[in-house]
Amino acid sequence: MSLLTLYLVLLKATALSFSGFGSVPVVREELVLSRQVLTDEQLNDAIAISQASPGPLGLYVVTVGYVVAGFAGAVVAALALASPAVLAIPIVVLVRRGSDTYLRGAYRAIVIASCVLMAVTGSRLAPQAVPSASLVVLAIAAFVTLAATRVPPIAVILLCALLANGLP
Amino acid sequence: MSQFPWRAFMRACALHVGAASAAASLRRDLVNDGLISEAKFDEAFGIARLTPGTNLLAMVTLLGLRLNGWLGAAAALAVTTAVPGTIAAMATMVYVSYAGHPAAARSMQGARAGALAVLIWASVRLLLPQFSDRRVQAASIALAVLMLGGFTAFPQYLLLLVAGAVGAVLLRIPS
Repeated sequence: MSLLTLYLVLLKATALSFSGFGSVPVVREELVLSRQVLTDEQLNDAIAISQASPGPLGLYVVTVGYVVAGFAGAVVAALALASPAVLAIPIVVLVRRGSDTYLRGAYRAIVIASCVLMAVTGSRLAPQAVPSASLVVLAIAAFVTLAATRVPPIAVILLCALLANGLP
Repeated sequence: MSQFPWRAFMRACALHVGAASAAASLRRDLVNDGLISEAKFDEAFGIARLTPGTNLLAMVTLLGLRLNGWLGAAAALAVTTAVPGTIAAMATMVYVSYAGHPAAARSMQGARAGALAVLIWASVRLLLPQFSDRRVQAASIALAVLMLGGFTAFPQYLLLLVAGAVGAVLLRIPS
C-alpha cells in the first residue's frame, strides 16, 4: 500500500469523525476489510496503545500507520490526523457570520452516525478482543467502571493489562 | 515567535491523555498567564467541537492563530501532533518488539478487552446527549445508520456524509 493511499484513507476517516474514536469504523472498513493490510487484532492493539499514551485519543491512527507502513506510515498518519484541523479557520468565519445553522445540524447527525458505527465496530472487534469468558467478564467490569466512576480510561486499560496475567 | 508559549502546548499534549484534560491544561497556562482572554479561549474550544477530525488539534490551531498568526497556528498544530505522535510511534515499536513474549501477549490481550470497553463506553457517552432534544429525528437517524451500517455493505464514509446531509435539514438550529 502506497503512503499516499494510506494518507488519503486515514484523511477520509479522520475528516469524517468528530471524536477520537469516531474514525475507527472507516479505518476498519478500509484497512481491515477492504485492503486487508491490518487485522482486527492489530486495530484493537492500536486503540489500546493510544489509550495508554498521552495526546488526543485519535492518535491511534499513528499506531495503525506504523503497523501498516513502518515509521513513514506513522508520519503519514500523523499528517492525516492533523490535516482536518486547518478547517477550524474557515469555520470560525462561518460561525461569526451566523451561517452555522445547517452546519451544526449536519455535525450533530454525523456524531450520532459515528457513535452508532463505533458501537457496531465494537461488536465486530469483540471476537478478537474478548475470545474467552474470563476476558468477557474483564471487559464488562471495565465498561461498568468507566460508566459508574471517574477512573480515567488509561488506568482502566493498564489495570486490564495487569489483571489479564492472572486470568485462567 | 520568541514569546510563543511552546511549553504550554508541549505540556498539554505530552502529559495529558484525551482532549478534555489537555484543554484544561492549556486554559490554565494561557488564560491564567494572560496570554489569551477567557472569551477567546472559549471560542476556540467551541469551534473546535464543530471542526471535523480531532477536536484538540483544531483547538490548538485556533489558539496558535490567536497568539501568533498563521505561523503560530502551524507551530501549535505541529507541536501537538509531533510530540504525542512520536511517543505513540515509540510505544508501538516497543509493542511490535515484545508482542511475542508470553507475558506481554497476555497483557496485550487484557488491554484489548479494556480498549473494547473504552470504545463502547465512548460511543454511549457521546451518543446519549444527542437525544436531549428532537429525539424522534435523532433516533430515526441513529436507527437508519444502525440498519445500513450494521446489516448492509453500505460504505461507512458515505453513510456519514448522507447522515450529515439529512441532519443539516432535520436537526438544523432554527434562526
